[in-house]
Amino acid sequence: MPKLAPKGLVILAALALPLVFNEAFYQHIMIAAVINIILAVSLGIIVGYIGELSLAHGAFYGIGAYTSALLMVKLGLPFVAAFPLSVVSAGFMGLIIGIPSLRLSGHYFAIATLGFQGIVVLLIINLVDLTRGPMGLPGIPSPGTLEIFGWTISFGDKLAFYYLAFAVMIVVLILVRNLLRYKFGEAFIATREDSLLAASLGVHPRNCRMLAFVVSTALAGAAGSLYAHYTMFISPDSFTLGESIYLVTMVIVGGRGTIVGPVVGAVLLTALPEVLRFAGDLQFVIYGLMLMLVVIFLPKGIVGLVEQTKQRGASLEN
Amino acid sequence: MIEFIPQLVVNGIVLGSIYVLVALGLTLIFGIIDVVNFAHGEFYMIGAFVAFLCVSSLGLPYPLAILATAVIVGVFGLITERVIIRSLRKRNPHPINYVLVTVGLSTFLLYGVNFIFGPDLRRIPSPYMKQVIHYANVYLTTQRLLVVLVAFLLVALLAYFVKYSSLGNQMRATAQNYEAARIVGVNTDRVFASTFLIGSMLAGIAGALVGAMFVTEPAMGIHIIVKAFIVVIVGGMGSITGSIVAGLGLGLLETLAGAVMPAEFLDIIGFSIMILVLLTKPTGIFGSGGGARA
Amino acid sequence: MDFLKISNLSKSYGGVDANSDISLSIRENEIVSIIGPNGAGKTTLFDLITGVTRADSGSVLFQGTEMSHMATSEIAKLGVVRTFQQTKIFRDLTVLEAVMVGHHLHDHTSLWQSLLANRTARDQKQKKQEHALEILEFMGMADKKDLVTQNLPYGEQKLLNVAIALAVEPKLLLLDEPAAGMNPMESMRMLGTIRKIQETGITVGLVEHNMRLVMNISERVFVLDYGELIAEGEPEEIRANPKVIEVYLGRQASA
Repeated sequence: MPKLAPKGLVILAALALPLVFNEAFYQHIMIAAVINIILAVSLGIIVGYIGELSLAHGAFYGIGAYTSALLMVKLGLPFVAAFPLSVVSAGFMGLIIGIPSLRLSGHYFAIATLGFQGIVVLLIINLVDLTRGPMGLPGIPSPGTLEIFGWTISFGDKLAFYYLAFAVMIVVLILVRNLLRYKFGEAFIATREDSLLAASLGVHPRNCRMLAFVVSTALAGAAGSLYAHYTMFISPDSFTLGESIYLVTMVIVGGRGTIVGPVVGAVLLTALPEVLRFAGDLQFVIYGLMLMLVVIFLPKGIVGLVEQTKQRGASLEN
Repeated sequence: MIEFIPQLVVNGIVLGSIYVLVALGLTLIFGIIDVVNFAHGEFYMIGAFVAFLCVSSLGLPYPLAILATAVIVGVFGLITERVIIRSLRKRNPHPINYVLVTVGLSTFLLYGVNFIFGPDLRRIPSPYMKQVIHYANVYLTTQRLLVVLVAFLLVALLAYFVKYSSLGNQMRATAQNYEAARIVGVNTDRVFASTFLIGSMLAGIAGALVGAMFVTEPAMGIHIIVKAFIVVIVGGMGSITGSIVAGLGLGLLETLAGAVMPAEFLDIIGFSIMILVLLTKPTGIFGSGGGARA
Repeated sequence: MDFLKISNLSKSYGGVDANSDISLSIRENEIVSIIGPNGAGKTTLFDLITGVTRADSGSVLFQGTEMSHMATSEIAKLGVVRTFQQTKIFRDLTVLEAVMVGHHLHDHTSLWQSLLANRTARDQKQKKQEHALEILEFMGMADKKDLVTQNLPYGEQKLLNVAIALAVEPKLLLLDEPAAGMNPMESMRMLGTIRKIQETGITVGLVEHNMRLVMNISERVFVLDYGELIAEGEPEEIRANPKVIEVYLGRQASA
């Protein structure tokens, strides 16, 4: 149990944070961080555990956002229906796109996903009747209200929405941790390390890669739905290649091949723009530099660096 | 409608020549050192800015500015290879890491230039933009003709160089089998550096030409790199012939089909063709060898 | 019915026959070796049996099931598992983790059970871990279980290759040069291990250059040369076979 204590503390602190910093500005950053954690952790399954680089995660995020928004705006579905459907639709698109592209690997896979990223954004822009194209989709309802014990909670409120998103994030983290801890995660890693050896042991590499990709893209859909009903307005600008690269940067800077890594990366890269707000576009220069430096000097990211320092500390004590 | 076709074909060849020029450097770097340079578009963009500064700030004549650009962007590529690519090669030479590091470089350069110069649209002053050649009902500025001529000249030079020069031989040996090349005494570090140098020079020259014809802006690199990927994948990563055919093909397709349908649909078609080729013949139509599949 | 029956199996690369019209059978629970000079097509034969490469023609029947069109992972499910000539050991995992991957097919956790981390998921993982430990004990490597595989000495990496494959609980185990590069002590250990494996009821096919090991352990030997099967029989017969002496030893003498 002592091992659990710091994790519990972090969760408690995260729950208390919006009460302490109760200005809308801070609460907004916290909500963005939570959504980015879902995105980075889900992308981390592909990048860290099957060892492929997807440059299309922003597109699946967008598919989730548009599905959820359109289901509520056009069909009047409630959030409780639109949210799971957005997860399913992003995962389904992951399946459709994954079937062909997962036959590729390395830079070819990266380029194929770059192509899909481009196609999805172009479709969002051009299916004007459905998406209103580059003008964006306004008037997306908030998740609505919840009545518990005579209390009415409105998720149009930032604080309530934060707790909703946080709950989703915790569920996502638990599901991903479980997936990676048992049979399938072991098979992902085996496939990443040596797919021929894995196959000779009865692991089906393509199915493994497919499963990882579908789970990852489905979870991006969940993040998309949360985003749409939080901002109440979505446009193609939020789901571009730039967004995909930003998400990849979170995973790499935080540390690939772990779950904590993407969480750290997401928090850092969500907070940093606010810190660097004075710098304007210069912040992107810093991200680019960060990505280069981490890839070259810290292949396991910040989390790897921390581990390393810890180990060094331990060996010094002995 | 029919009477526009010759003009459209000429425009298509001009556009295609630009694609060929940019794709050539990308495909060379990939074919020889197995690195997909996602920052290649930014090298092209920097080429346009360097040429712009040479002409408007230093007052160099445009043709001289193009030459200066080739040298400066070439040196820039050399530094990139030395500082970034080589460090990675010695530490973590996984294909994905090359993609990541060049994506980082691309972001760094794009926003770096954007920070310094702002997102304004500029145009390199070129005397050739004002001269118009007119034959039957086809109009062409000298600048456009220059683009086509330079593209053809550089393609021929590159093909000759790779095939007949001693460094070219070493490059081909390295591309075929890195370890074997090292064993027979090829200085692979030099090959890597020269490949990056040449690839970057090609991108820089393309930028200097296009920046005078269309616009010079920080985002011009991301617009072109996507097309260059389509060309290089369809033509076959590492194939010069493939880049020429696919580049001219894409240019013609875009101008001819562009007359009857919106550009965005063309982009969707371009991406789709690229993905289709990746899936059916990942080495491209003119490429050889394997290794693309999982 | 033969345990493994290969009929008229052929594979050529760019006009060069790597395997040409090979037919042979292996009986249950015997140890057979496939020998031949370098480039004779021994590894290709293993590749064809285990679906790593597709044969141009011919058939591979395992306990009556045609395998020549199956994927490697499907073939492993039938109980045919091979090791590789190169050391393949999941270099970044610990020894225990690597062997656990070998037991993947016997882990019956479903996706939902895994996502919920319910009792089945945990029990299956526990079982897998226990089984992997048993295998490591069988191989005499239990004390190395927490080492990262790439930090093992070479001889033990080769043993780990076998341990990982054993974790699949194969019926037919194909070992591609298990003793390559080993010193005499290590290859004696490998020989003992292979015998012990046979005693558990597993059929073993070997590709090996170490003639002492081959002649010592094999019940039957197949000889390949330029992709063709030129002789088969008991070790004594093979030793006396003039064709084998000419092709095999003659070339060795001139080398």
